[in-house]
Amino acid sequence: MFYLALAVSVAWLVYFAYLFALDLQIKDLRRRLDARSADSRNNTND
Amino acid sequence: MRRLLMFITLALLLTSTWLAFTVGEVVPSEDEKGVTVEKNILYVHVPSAICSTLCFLVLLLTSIAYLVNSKPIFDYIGAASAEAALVFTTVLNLTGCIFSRVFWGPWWTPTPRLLTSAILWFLAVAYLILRAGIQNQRHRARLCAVFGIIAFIDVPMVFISARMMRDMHPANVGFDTAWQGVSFGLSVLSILSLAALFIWLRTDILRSRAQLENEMYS
Repeated sequence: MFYLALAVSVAWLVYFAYLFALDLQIKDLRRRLDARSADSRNNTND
Repeated sequence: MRRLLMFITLALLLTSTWLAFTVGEVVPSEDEKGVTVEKNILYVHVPSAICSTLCFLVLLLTSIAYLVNSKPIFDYIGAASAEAALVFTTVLNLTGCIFSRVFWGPWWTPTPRLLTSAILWFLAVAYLILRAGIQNQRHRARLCAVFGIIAFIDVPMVFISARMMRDMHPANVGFDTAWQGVSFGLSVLSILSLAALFIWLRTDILRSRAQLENEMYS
């Protein structure tokens, strides 16, 4: 029983780590989007 | 905000797992001696079934919403819920196979409940293959919305299969103690919040990617 509980807990932790990676991916995408819009704003001003 | 929700979900998951395998442990009957571990898989199996059903429901609602007003956000939520449905139907079918092997003998057998659950998995896969195969955004969203509505037809079949047809799969889950009920409720809640978080994150990624692509090509 202990091993099943351990296996399920480890599976949840792995899945949680994946969600965390997704969160980091979103941050990176947002940073790129901000950089792009700032870039296009500068081009318009020039 | 999202990070906080993620940690609350993790705490819920670990608490429900701990409760389910300690005070909420389901003890097998006299003729099921030696299968305690497999019996307690139901704490993952049944919540996964509920969760995948709800993911398909979200897919249905967002598909209808997309066809009605063509807002891309509904397409992104639908795609994310199909991905979540794939994850949880995989867990559902795998844990079901272990249960079947221990209690009935074969790993899998074509009874109505098992068959409709397997079809659910194939439908989630088919949706994602269809999505990956079409380049045009509008055309893809429209076609996937139609497929999402058709795919939902299998969900009521899963529900009624063990209730209205002869099937070795039990129709309902019953608990002997209050702790078992609490553990089960908490398992359902934690897996649902996990799926909701997944859908939220994937929707955000799909939307940001689409925005980035639009900016690059505009």
